[in-house]
Amino acid sequence: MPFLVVMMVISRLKSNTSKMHAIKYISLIACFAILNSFSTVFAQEIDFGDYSSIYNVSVAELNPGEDIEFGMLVQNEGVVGINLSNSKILTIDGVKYLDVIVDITADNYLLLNGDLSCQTNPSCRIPFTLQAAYANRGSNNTNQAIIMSVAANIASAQFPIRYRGNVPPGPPPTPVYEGFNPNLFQETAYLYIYGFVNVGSIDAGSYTSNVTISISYD
Amino acid sequence: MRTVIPSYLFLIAVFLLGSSVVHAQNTNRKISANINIEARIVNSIELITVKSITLGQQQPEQDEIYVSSLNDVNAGYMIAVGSPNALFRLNFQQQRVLTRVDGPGTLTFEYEISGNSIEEQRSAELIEADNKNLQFNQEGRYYIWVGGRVNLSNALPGSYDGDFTIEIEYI
Repeated sequence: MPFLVVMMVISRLKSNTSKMHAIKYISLIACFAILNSFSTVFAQEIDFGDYSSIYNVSVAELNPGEDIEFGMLVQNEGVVGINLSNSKILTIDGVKYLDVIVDITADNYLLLNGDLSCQTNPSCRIPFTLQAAYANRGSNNTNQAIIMSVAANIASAQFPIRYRGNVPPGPPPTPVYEGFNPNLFQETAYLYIYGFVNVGSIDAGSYTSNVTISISYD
Repeated sequence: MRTVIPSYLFLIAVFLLGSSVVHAQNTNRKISANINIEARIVNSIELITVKSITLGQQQPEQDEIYVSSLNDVNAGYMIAVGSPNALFRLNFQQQRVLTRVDGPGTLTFEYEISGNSIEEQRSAELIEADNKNLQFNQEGRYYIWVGGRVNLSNALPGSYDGDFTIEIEYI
């Protein structure tokens, strides 16, 4: 429809020069419109964690050296789980008012002696289902834990190091100034990793697998 | 027309620049950690009864029957099969009541068990009824002989029947 209107306007112009000018400017406007349609528009968002290297985040095991240990299981034992209260606990230390993005990725199978060829061999692998939760109210308390959503053995969540309730984020973080002490703004959040295995008719022996946790500020 | 082409190019250039996405310098770090998951799978335990305990025919004047688990050929014989070298616990009910098949009457049988990691009855060791830590041999086998003792002083003549419960679990 706009195209028809434009064509009608051009056809009513008397001289050829006017028509040439009209075509030139209309084609320019069309060109701008097309180019502008490629530009990306973002909502306003400030990721404070991006802009200062002084905002450190660290992860550690609450009980170092302790694995997610299912112990001794008997062939065909079926589903055996480690629940939240017996989970592996990690601590995340960071700036309390910043959000962290946490991704926990678990292998789909425990493999006999860690042998990768067992990934396709049902007689030497144990299916593992990941579960995870976090607590960000300042204490290691599973009753305060929030269960993370898990898809394809990847648990993901974004949360502030310190719970701020159902309110919007507070004012921007304190800028770094002379005498700035980042420890005043540090807080610890807790990560709980657990899950279950399904033991079928498999070979006896030692089975292992791995969980990788990655953390960054939003 | 000579000025038209440069102005086109200029405007196109301005809009191409405007459409590019500009990011501030990003210093965000990603940290990571790894955790192991472990499980040890053992073979399920099988208990094979090779031979039942045999008491034979007893005489009326006989007050007691005793079948030694250590040296009597009438002792029952079982083989436990599990994970090689794995430790296990063995429990059994030492006293069992046998019921008379053809009428009223019971007998109390007191079981005696001995076990060995090699298939040799006479070098076996007596196993107490309470928990005992035992070990499967390199082939995942443990040999068990079952004997016992029964008092016949008040027993009515006839056949008596009963069962024996043995429980094995990994430690």
